[in-house]
Amino acid sequence: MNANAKAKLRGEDRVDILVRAPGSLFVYWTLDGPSSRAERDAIGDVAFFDRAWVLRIENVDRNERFDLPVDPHAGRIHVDVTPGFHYRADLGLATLTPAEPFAPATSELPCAPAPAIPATVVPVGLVSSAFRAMLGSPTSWVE
Amino acid sequence: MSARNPAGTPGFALHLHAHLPYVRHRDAGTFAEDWLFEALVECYVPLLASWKHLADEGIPFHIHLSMTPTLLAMIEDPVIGIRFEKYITDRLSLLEDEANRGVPEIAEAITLYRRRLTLARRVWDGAEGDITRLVRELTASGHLTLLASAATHALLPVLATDEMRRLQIALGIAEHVRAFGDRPAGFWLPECGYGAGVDAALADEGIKYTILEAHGIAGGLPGGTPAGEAISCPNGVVAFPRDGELSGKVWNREGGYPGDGRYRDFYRDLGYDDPARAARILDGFDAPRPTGLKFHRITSVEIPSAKKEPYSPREARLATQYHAAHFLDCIKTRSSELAKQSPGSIPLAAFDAELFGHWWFEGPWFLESVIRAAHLSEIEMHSLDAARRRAPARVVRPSPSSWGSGGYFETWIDPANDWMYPALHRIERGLARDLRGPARNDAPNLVPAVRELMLAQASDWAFLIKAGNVAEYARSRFLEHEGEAVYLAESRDPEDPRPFLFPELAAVLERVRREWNVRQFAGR
Repeated sequence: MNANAKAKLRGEDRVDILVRAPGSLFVYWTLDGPSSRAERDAIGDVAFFDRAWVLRIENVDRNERFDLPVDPHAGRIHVDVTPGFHYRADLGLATLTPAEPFAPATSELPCAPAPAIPATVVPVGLVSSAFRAMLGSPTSWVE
Repeated sequence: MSARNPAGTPGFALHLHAHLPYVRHRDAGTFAEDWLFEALVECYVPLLASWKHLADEGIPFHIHLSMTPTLLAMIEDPVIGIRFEKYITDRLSLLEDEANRGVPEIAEAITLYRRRLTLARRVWDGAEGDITRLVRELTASGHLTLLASAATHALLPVLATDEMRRLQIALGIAEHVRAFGDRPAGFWLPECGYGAGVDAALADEGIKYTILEAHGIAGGLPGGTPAGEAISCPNGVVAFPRDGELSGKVWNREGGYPGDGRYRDFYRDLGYDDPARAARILDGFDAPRPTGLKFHRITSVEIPSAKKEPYSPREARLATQYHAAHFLDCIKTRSSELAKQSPGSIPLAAFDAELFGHWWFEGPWFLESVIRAAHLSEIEMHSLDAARRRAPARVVRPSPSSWGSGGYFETWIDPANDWMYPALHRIERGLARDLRGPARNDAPNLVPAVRELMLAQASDWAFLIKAGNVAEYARSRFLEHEGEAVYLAESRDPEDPRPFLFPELAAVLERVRREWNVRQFAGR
């Protein structure tokens, strides 16, 4: 593995989404890549992590979004969403302004499927007399 | 497309998926290796013996079967063969010790176990430790159709990269071909798990058909696919829907056949009832755990374990006859229902093979009764490969889905196990980037690193951690393989902790890497 690949194994700024179910996303992130490192070097670890971090969930199809406050150290969260739409997640700071434009990671764009589980269940019933008559004696392949 | 039954008579298709995670350990006598031995004694050998017997009798039947590379690797391991012989000898000794107690209520069960263990030894020795030989014979005679499955049973939709999805599929097929000779047309998706990119990877590896949960097709786009109807994914892979209602007869924890009070209780075991005696006879038995010798019936789910009644194989066997008859009644009903919605559609029942014999001890008897009764009543057991060729398919993009609780991926992405994915995906992305380029001399451990990553990707670990029973074992296995993968990826000293496992891996890596590079140059 070359040095570049090794570095990528060790440190990334990224946020990822896994679809758990139509109404549920699993979002996780890492903040140890070049962008974060530069920011931490500039302001120090305490200041870096002690700010108001948010996970912004965007419904891309509806152009809607909401923010969830997160602990940057936690690294992961389960998020309830409306099924059937594409979602993107951004990890950044609650006070994003042009003067403080730090948002280190954006996810790709998975689609939470619409639910399609059939609700009907056929109950276990009685054996028909026709099949009962058809049955032979127990077989003897082993016992 | 429907899975057409040209004669219009009732019929069904049956698929069994045989899988165990790779549980071969350096030291003998681990509880995890017992999973394999119990499955051999209770499930794989009885099923194969039953099918061989039926075939020799001239009873027609057709079953689809997948066996994962991890299971195949253990079956063909000579060390496992030696340990299996010891397992049988030890259990027979424990059984004789139990027989000497002279408890008349369990005499019938003791006889059954003695015969089962003897049969396992006879079949194993007869096949010279290679029971895949029996599978090949039944395939050659047309009674089995084999499907491949993923290399280490990764839940493909939750992998981070297309590269690793492709490798899981490609290695699964390559190991299948090595074991059985023929290239498979069908592929069983671990946990019946489908997500974006899976069908494209199947098509890239030449797979013609697969099986999805019915709601994965019903929820696909465009909608409106009638229940039971097979579809064509956009890249041409045909997907058959697993019939939830039919499969639920056997599968459902509540109301399924295996819950009948006459059947053997899975949880009460000699290893818990009298662990001191088990420890005296069984090597490595250092704490109460299952021995595979269970002498009580379910009786009732409300009854505590200590009050279960003695197991009567005779009564249990009779129960399988009635349940088989009921199952065929359901097949007739289901065939008729599906035919109304999409003429000629075939209900497809698919199960873990281990359900038949291991979890449901009487399962092999049940299946044999189903096959015999289906033959007598002219209910056909259909071939999916033949069905996929018969009719044009409507093109549908399936919905993500699985056969786990809830129907999606909640079981494998749960607060109990979600910590696995960031670590797993980080090493996966790193290795995938490395695989996209040409082979290099400064990555001497790429093959073993990918192998360890694949072992870490097994869906079993997340499932067991969520289930909680052997969570610590699953957690340690995951961490072991994930840690090995990271170490090997970063080490420049050539080393390989498991050079014997997956002999096709190096060639598959090379082939797939070559194809990626060609595509890259072609601008795909």
